[in-house]
Amino acid sequence: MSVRSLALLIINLFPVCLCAQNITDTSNGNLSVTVSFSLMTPGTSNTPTNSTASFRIRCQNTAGYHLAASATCSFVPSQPADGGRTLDFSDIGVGITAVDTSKSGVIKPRVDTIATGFNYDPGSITATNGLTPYSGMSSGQATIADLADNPNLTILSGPQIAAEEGKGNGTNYITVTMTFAELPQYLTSGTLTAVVTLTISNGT
Amino acid sequence: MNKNKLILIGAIILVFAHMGFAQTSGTITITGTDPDSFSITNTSDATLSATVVLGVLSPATGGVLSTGSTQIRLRSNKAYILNAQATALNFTGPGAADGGATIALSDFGFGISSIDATGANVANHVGHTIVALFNYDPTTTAVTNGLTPYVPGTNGTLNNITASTQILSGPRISTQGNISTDNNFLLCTLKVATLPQYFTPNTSFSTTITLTIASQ
Repeated sequence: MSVRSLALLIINLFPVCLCAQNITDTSNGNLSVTVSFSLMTPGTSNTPTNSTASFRIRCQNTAGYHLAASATCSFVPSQPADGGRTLDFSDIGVGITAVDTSKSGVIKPRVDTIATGFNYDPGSITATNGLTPYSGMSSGQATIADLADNPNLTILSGPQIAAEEGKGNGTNYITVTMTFAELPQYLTSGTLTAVVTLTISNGT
Repeated sequence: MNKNKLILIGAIILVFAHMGFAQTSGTITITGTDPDSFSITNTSDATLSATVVLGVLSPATGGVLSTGSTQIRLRSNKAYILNAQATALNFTGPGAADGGATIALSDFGFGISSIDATGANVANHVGHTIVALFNYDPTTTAVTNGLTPYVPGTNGTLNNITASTQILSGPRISTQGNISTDNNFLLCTLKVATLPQYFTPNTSFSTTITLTIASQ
């Protein structure tokens, strides 16, 4: 093989293999979003407090894509539990509440599939008696604990998104919105930090 | 450098440039704070604003006290103290004392007659301590000779809470849940009583008791 042929092979092969998908924030930058619940002061409402994060995914791989999620969590209490309950990561519901495929460059018709347990809006679940309302992924209401317990869990998948995946193209992406929610309660005081890592890979 | 090397270097640069653009993962960080939380509500879980009406205090025979009570719900996610403070008696239409006595805060017995910590989502069913002076039911105090029965230093009265004064304390109350949860609170019954006597007449009187729950 000549040097010229080798060069062409490298140029043509690697973009397909290494860059067949990408995930960005809604400004096409690196996805590093912070969702803050601020102060979770208990009230009288049975409606959880919710917050959302949106991001863009692109995929030119003909085999489609998988979007996987993992979570690492920590809660630092500021006092002893003193007989009460401390925030558990199963207290925070997580779901995919929107998959916007409307951009003109997105290949259609298409079916993007939200994994079982994540196809719900945790902010719309009504609590009973002021207690955490989420039943877990297997019961259709996923929580952060499900992501922590099942690393690299596929939460969304679908076919090829567009013919190319350049981030300068304004029409070749799907916008995904994830919603996180929690019902403020008289849980042990302290500070929550959870990091959800999203990874997109090809569909094969 | 020959032409072939330039082509190869160019190809490698292009590959690494593409690799540099490749961005297949990202992070969403979720943050929040569970603050120290305390609340006092009425038995409907609404803001506490109760009025105790003692009515017309006409003197009579015997020792029948005019009484009133109110129940409150306390919730907390850490150890607490409950303070009470009464304002001075406010009279409208006061008559002349003419050498007699006028009703005073010390004529009103004030106490916590019961606390109920049995709810399933109560973190500590025991350990809630009423300050001794207020640990009684002023509506059952025996009257002697038709005079105010409350003994200073033994029976708490409104005169003991003219400044913000601790009347109750305890460990964390609520295991979980919020202000609408029906079994995560301490139910506290407060009572007040007075003996109608030949005090200086007035059209009406009032005092406001402010309750405050805070961290120990």
